Amino acid sequence: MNKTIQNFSNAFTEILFKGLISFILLALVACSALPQRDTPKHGFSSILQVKEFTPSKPKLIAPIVIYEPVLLKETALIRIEDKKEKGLIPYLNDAGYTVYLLSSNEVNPDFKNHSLEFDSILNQIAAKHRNRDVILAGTSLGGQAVLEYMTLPMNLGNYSRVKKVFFIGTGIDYNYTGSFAEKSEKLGYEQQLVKDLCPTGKKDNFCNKYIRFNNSLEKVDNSKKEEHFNRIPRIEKDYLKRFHQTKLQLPYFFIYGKLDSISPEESIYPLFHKLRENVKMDSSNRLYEASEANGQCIDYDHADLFLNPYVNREVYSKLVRWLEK
Amino acid sequence: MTSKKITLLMTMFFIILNVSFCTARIHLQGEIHHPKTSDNWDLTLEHHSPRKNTVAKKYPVIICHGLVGNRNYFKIKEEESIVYRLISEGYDVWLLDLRGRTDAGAPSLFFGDKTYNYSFDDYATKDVDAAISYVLEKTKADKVNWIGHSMGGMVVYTRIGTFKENRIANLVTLGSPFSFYNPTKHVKMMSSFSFLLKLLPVVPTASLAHLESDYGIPLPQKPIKMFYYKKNTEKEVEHALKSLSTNNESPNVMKQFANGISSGEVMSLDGNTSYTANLKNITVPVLLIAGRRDHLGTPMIVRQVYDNIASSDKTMFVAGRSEGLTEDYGHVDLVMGTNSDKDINVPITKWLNERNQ
Repeated sequence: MNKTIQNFSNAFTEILFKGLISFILLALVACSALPQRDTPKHGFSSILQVKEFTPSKPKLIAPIVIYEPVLLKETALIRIEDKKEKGLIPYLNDAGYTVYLLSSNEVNPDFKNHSLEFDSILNQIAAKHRNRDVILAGTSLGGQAVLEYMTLPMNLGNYSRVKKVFFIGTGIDYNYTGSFAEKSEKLGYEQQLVKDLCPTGKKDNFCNKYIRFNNSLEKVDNSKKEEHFNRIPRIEKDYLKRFHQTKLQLPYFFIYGKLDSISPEESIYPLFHKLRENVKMDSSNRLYEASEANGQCIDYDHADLFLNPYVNREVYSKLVRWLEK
Repeated sequence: MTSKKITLLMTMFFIILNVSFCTARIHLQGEIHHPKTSDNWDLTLEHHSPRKNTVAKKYPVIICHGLVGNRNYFKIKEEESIVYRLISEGYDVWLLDLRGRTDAGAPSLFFGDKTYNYSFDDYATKDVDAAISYVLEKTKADKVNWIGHSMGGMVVYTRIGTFKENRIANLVTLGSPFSFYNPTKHVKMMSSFSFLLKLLPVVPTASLAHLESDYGIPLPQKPIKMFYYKKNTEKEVEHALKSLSTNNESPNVMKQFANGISSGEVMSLDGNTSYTANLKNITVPVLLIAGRRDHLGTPMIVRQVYDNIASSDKTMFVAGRSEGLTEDYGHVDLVMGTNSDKDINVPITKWLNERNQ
């Protein structure tokens, strides 16, 4: 009798154990099918941190690698509003793109030290995606890390990995009088936290000059803009001179805000002009101004390019169309 | 109330409205001169002498208006205008009206020896030459300072770059493009009407502006937004701009602009010479001002000028809030914006003073 009970108990335990294992396995499979958010994937690099954002319905297309905005916090690219994920990354995910967000582990990142790591990460990402080419993206002043990467000598960089490049709100060439880079240097903005540069009660502070624009207060919540600002990186002025000629042949898309004084239109012109003059230039190079004169609801400033409630429809839709070309 | 009474009341209301609108006047008036060009056109130069108890500056200043404008908008702000600011600093100021402006006799539409058939080339070669010669003769100076708004700067880019003008000591331009890079949807839409230029004897911009300012018939706002930022322009100034400072334009001049928008650069009327390509010949000290919100002389286009001129003394200034100014400036508000005296005229005068000791 006891033996029967013991046999029954063993069988029951085995079934229970197998059931538990199956449940765990099933749960793991189910979890991997769900979109992943903010899950750091280690093992890519020691200086740079990589986060992977996979779409719920992935497509067999090139992944997008974005360097963190630096001036803006990562939250500007993926934020929760009305219990929904909003921003550039969710929008690209919705379009089927896997997005990798690179950020530095250093408090004050020096983009010059990142380029080789950057290259190695691109290789690893490409390998993970069946050796598909990657799309490089620069957002806000973090885009300068992408520019720095583009200045790597050919024998060091694996540029064949890059399929297309786009920049949103990235200043490129600040070699002119009164540029943001010049002022930033003079006023000691460099690598300071934006919140420290915006003391309340003082009119002539950084936020009043660069963030707060009152043309559409009812549409854009300016207090939210401030929350998403981070620190001001050191701005290089000579990327254009160091830019490798071969990389001028890639398709580029530049998006700028009409009222953006941080990454203003006049800083983007020289590179775009160089691209236009290049004989082998890809015809799909584009320069897009987010402004009322182009049909947007307002003239965009720097933060609007990431935080405006209509940015998906008004701006990112054009980006996705270009990516799909 | 009978319908007759209602009609009478409404008519009186519109007459009163009209009269109140029609009272735009400018009190700042100078001495009028009419120099002749080599092809016998009369121009207008309005002379404002330096104010008493000021130290005379080295060179006189010629100020030139933009496309479809005349000299009046430089005075609309009266004591807050660039003219008043400069004469208060000791400058001898000459406001220029290029050919075709009414004060020197309006051209005829179809007949006579002066019709609206002139071009941008005529402005740059003949009008600028005549104006400089006249001012130098009257003032006995050997050079002039030139301040040009929009096309008023472009004529001098052309004059110096292509026609080797060497009598300009210092150049200040406000919202002056010299290519049409990345035109916006609105600019493209405007230039898509260029086929009309073949049919019209004149571009009736003054008549259109008067419809709104004098008769209260509203014009489409989207194209107007390209010219100035409403929130940075006082109502009476806006009215005076339309009522007193808008001029009809020659179809040839407009055609050169429309061609520029499609080709990207400013060319001679016959299309054989690229004036834009000759920017590299400019070596005089230059101050380039662009409005952050400007859709015509955009900061991007002004940067192109900045990069291409060969001057060792060149300064670019983007008028906007990031410079600590009260507003992000549009195209015409650079001259007559709410706070343009403090925001724009003061930096111009400071820059000129450093080069006119």
